[in-house]
Amino acid sequence: MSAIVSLRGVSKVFPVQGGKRTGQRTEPVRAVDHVTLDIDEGTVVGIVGYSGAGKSTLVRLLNGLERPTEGQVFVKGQDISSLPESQLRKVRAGTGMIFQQFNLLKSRTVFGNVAYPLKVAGWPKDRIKPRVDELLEFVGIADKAGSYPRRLSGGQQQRVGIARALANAPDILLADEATSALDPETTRDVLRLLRRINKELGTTVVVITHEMHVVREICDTVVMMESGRVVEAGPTYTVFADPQSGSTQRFVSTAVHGTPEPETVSRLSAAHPGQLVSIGISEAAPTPLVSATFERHGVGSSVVFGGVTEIQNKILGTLTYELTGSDHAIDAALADLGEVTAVERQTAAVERQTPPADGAVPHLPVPANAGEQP
Amino acid sequence: MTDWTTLLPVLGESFQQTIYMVVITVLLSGVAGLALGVTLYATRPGNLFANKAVFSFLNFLVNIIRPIPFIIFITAIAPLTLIVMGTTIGTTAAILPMALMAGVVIGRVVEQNLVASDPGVVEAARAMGDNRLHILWAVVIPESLAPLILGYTFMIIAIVDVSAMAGYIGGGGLGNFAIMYGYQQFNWEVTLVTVLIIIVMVQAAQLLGNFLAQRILRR
Repeated sequence: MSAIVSLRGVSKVFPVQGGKRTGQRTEPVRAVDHVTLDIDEGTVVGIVGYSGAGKSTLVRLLNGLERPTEGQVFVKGQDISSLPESQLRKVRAGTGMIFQQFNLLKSRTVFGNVAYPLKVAGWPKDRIKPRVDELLEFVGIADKAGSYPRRLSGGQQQRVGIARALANAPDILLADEATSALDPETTRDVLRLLRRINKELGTTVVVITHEMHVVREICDTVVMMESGRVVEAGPTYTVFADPQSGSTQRFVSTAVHGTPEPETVSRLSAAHPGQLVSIGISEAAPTPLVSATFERHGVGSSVVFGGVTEIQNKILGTLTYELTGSDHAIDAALADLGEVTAVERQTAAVERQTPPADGAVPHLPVPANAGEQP
Repeated sequence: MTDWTTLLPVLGESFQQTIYMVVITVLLSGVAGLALGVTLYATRPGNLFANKAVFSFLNFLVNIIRPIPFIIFITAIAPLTLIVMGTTIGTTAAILPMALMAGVVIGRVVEQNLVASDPGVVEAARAMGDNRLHILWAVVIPESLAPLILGYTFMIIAIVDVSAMAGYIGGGGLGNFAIMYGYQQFNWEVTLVTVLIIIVMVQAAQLLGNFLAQRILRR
């Protein structure tokens, strides 16, 4: 796969705004800090980080809405960092962008909004209407062509935004927190649509988000940002299964639930006299393997807590088992499992070592394909 | 008793003079004010044509002219009026100071309405590869149309108000009529009738403005 977008040592520094007049000079803001990154053609890439991590600035460097302070941005092999405004407009026209607040023109109808980029690109009038109809059909709101954006729900507005972004058949679609203002169900619909665009049209999709579940749903690769820097990047499953940096671990835990909190451990210990152990479930250690290992050592096991999900068609999660049997057998079984996955003995008194996992499924009766919470 | 048979033609003429002054002033200051307001908005730091020098200069200019009481402004720019209009007295001479003052105020009103508009749509238009001048014309102004109409309605009424002072330099109009035939002759009836006519004019302008703005807001 070849890179459709490449960043080489890119930094973006915003000068101090004249807001603070305390006499003391505040430091200029380094929103993006020496980022080197390749985005492969035809993939869905998630750029993740807390607010203020520089994700939004980074994505605006990709279509020339912002110019880098240093470094180079290559789009389809062309260095856009020093292009004049008129040339940049062509780059932007070939790159679709959707926004958290949709940013539709309220003074124009749905049709007018989708037709706008076509008019800007100089399409002849008689070709605009069929193209707009086709786009509205594609995103599933053909019946709303004559409505004004104000009359539409958030999900419908984002569909208009997507149709508008796709109008000039861009090779790259930038989604800046595109689902952050939507409810979970609408979010899933929009994510499915983005996936479809990637699959059917071959569009490279760059998704900016602070929600890890968005990444889990659609991204092939993840780029984790913190304070303007890329702290981790790689295939989604790898990053989820084995997050390296602290902030990535925190983020992953928001999407992959399953490790009990200390309070939960206390409750579980009270209800279950056996030894409580949390086992990381992954490709390397799927549930049948875990069960088989316990059986081989003559250890009785039942799942009392946990959550398992799938990422890129691979299993991932954490299950907490109540183990019964001799200490010796349990130790031997856990030693075997420790070779292939994370094993953590849970004792009520022990200080928690993992971040909170809200929404985990407590007291799951059977192991195997324990589905995760929506 | 008021002699309405002789006063009515004078009232009619005064009404026409007011309409003339107001219409011409609104047209001139409306266009100039729109240009000034859009320029102030566009050159503001962080906006499409951010330019600190131009913005600061225009901002300063507006701040200098706006606080001058209009009656003093008329006399202060009399030399300019003489050069441009060829005279400093009469209805036509009154139009220049009126249009200048109204243009500056409209500029500020336009700027304020545009600044309050959503910057997201401007960014969306830029992301589509649109050029900046076209964005101002096709996105920024249409998106703020309803508040702009209300702003202009407010200004038309203010211009009707200010036109009453044109009488001071022989500009005629309803204001002059009310002073000459009402106030100075202790005829409250004439003053009252003039006031009623002005109220009807203002109401009509406001109703029309509200109606248009509502139509746009309702979509």
